[in-house]
Amino acid sequence: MSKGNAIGLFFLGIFVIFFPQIVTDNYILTVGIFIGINALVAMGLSILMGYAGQISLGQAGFYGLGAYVSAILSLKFGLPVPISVFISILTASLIAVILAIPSLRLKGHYLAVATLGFGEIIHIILNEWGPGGPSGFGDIPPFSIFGYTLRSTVEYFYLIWMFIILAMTFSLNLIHSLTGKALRAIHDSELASVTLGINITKLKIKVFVLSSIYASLAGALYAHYVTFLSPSGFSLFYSILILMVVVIGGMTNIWGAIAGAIIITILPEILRGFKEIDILIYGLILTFCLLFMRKGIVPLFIEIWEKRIKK
Amino acid sequence: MILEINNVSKSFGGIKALKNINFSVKEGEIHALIGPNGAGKTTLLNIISGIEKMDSGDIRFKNISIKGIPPHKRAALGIARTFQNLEIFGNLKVFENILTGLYLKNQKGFLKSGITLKGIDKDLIIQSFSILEYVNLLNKKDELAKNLPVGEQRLLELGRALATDPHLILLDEPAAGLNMRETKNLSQLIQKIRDEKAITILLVEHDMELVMGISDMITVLNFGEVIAEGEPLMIQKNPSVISAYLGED
Amino acid sequence: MTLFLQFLFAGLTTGSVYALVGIGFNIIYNSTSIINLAQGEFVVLGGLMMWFFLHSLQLPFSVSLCLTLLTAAIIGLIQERLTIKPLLKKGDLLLMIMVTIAFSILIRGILMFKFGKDPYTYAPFTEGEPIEIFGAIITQQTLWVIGITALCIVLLYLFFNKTMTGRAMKACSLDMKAARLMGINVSKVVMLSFLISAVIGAIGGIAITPISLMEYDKGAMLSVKGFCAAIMGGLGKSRGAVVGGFTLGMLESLTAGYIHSGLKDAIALLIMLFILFVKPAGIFGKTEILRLRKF
Repeated sequence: MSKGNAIGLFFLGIFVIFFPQIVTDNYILTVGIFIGINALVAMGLSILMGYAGQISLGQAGFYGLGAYVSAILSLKFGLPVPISVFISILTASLIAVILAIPSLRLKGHYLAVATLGFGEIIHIILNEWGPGGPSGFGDIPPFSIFGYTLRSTVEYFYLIWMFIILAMTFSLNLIHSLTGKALRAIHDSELASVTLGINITKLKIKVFVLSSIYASLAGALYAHYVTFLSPSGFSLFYSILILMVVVIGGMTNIWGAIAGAIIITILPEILRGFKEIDILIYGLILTFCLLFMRKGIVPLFIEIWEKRIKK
Repeated sequence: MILEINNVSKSFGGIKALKNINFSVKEGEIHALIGPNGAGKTTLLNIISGIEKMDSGDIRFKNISIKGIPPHKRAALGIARTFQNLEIFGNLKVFENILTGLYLKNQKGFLKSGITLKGIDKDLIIQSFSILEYVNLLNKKDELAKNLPVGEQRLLELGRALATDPHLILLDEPAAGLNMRETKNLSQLIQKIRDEKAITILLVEHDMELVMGISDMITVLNFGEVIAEGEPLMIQKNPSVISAYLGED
Repeated sequence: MTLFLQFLFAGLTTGSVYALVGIGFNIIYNSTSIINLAQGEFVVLGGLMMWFFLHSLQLPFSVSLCLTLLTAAIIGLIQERLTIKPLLKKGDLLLMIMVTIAFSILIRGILMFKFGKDPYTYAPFTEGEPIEIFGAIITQQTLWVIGITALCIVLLYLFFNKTMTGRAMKACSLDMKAARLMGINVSKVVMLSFLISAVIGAIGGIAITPISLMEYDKGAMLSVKGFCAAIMGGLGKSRGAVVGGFTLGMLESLTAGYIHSGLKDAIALLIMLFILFVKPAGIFGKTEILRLRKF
């Protein structure tokens, strides 16, 4: 990990520790939790897009899988929550492998379409066979570990942001390793990458699985935090929302996932009074970013910052 | 013989690009593959490095058949290459391009990379610098590769290939787009690689001065067939080679 | 038997729309290698705009029809000029996929703003008694949908094979570089392909809305199903998309009829995943072509 990132992580840690001490407003903390959940899902997609050059339109599927599997295992089968979370992640990554192997062998848009199909199938399954069908189910046990049950918003804030910091650390280490360079090489030229001995299919599969792990973990945490699930939150639109998070934040920088998540999570809170134009605004923002701000916020800021230093 | 091409054929939609090609490359030599445009030279390099499949025939590298082996595994066996239409990693810095070459023999694995805090070993960075020094690019190490002029991008590709620690390097028109001085430096560099590092080189090149100056052996292709083979002086006098080249003009 | 026939005709009707969307995918894919994920939105646009002209503005049928097609054509043009043209040169497939998604959300957003979340419908094109074939009841609108689709296919065939512009577009799909060297205006071809795709999508929407209601958020699923139809026949082959669309429509309707209506949408997705995994060149396509495109 580079020095800048290490400092960044350190300050993020400090911020996370002290934020709930300073801001005690439950509403703001709740928004903070949702920012964290969205950022975790986006982080995986960001590595997949920015580093492996692949796109997934099915992150909602993994997110939903994580949420439902963990919720059902802990509620209906009485498994301890950490174990149900673990199994849900395992399930998601297994499906990710099955999905990735055939579609990553093909070039270009195939993963996009395959993941889109996968996400929608999960959505249909949750609607048809999920407990409670389209209206969902509740009474999901809250997160508990070593006999201690998390109840307050502050505790969940810490739990989720602890996972963010862990995932951030892992991601940053990965990106700054030789493997990270190989991933970026694949993005620039697959042809040259293979002739350097980089097994591009295998690396892409691993990154895709990593993205499914982040998404399913986020889903599981979400389930045990809100203790109520319905399929509507796991539709294609959520996948696209996460795509927006990554695009706005900047896919070539993992920090973009957090920055983007802040914007995309807060936006609907601001737009609360304009329910009928929210999709239009999302569309405008995404189109605008793709046309005029392709790099995304974080890389853009870094660029401006570096220019100022050079002066 | 480090590389043996046995009866290799390849056609694209009815057009025979290569017809029963046979020749061998001796270890430690600079072996040039020449011929007019469309003779099938690049296709043959693609087949050797595994990014294109041959229709029939066999290729043996260090006495092992590499038929059907995917390209990344061929790189692991010791075959590296450069590209005629430059395939550098433009958004990576120059020294990072070299690091991608070092990945092959020095990577730690996905999971371990994620839990190792200190990033890329200092040794590897130093190693990448010394490779850059070898190809005369050390002063450009922190620039984005896409900002280099063509000549230096070609050197960078060569350095990246060297970083994989190969036994054989396939050079696809390394002098294309280079001026006279750059070409001269390149020819010295290629000889240095052969002499100091004992790496075998299979060279596809149009610059005859370069080819005649450094090659130990030359194979001439025309319309997908080997029409001559021999040392530079012999090739220069070979009538069928002369007519093949004159016929082109 | 009667029931089976009934399902079959229902399948042919929805299948027609999938075929039209599929053809739209192919036309754009052939000229740009882009999968235009906004394709389904044009069907919704067609249906809703037709309703708007017919019922909000009380215009006669033929005027409404022309205006709806014109709207679709303009939106298709806007998509191409505004979002595709500036980015196409970059050759970044990832970016292109995203920008078509962005545009689809834009259309959806506008439609929701204008029409809200309610479903819309209007009267069938012709009033009259349904026809009975072996006991299965077929409405006149069903025949309209199938007939219009057939007409579109014939017209497109004539356009691509008999007119200069159509041939130029075909040449582009075979070899973009060669086409450019031959003096074909590739930029115009790309523009035309978006325009044509938008219009035929809208035609599908106009025809189907009297049968199955139209609402603002149907586009995404229609895109997926149209894409499924396109890859069933092998991406880029319009005849394949027609067969693919009808097959998909019938499979769906039989599933909904005999197995479970909630699974109707899953069928298309499962077929799509199956094809992508097992036979990416399509059921009727050859794998060879795909391999050549890879490098």
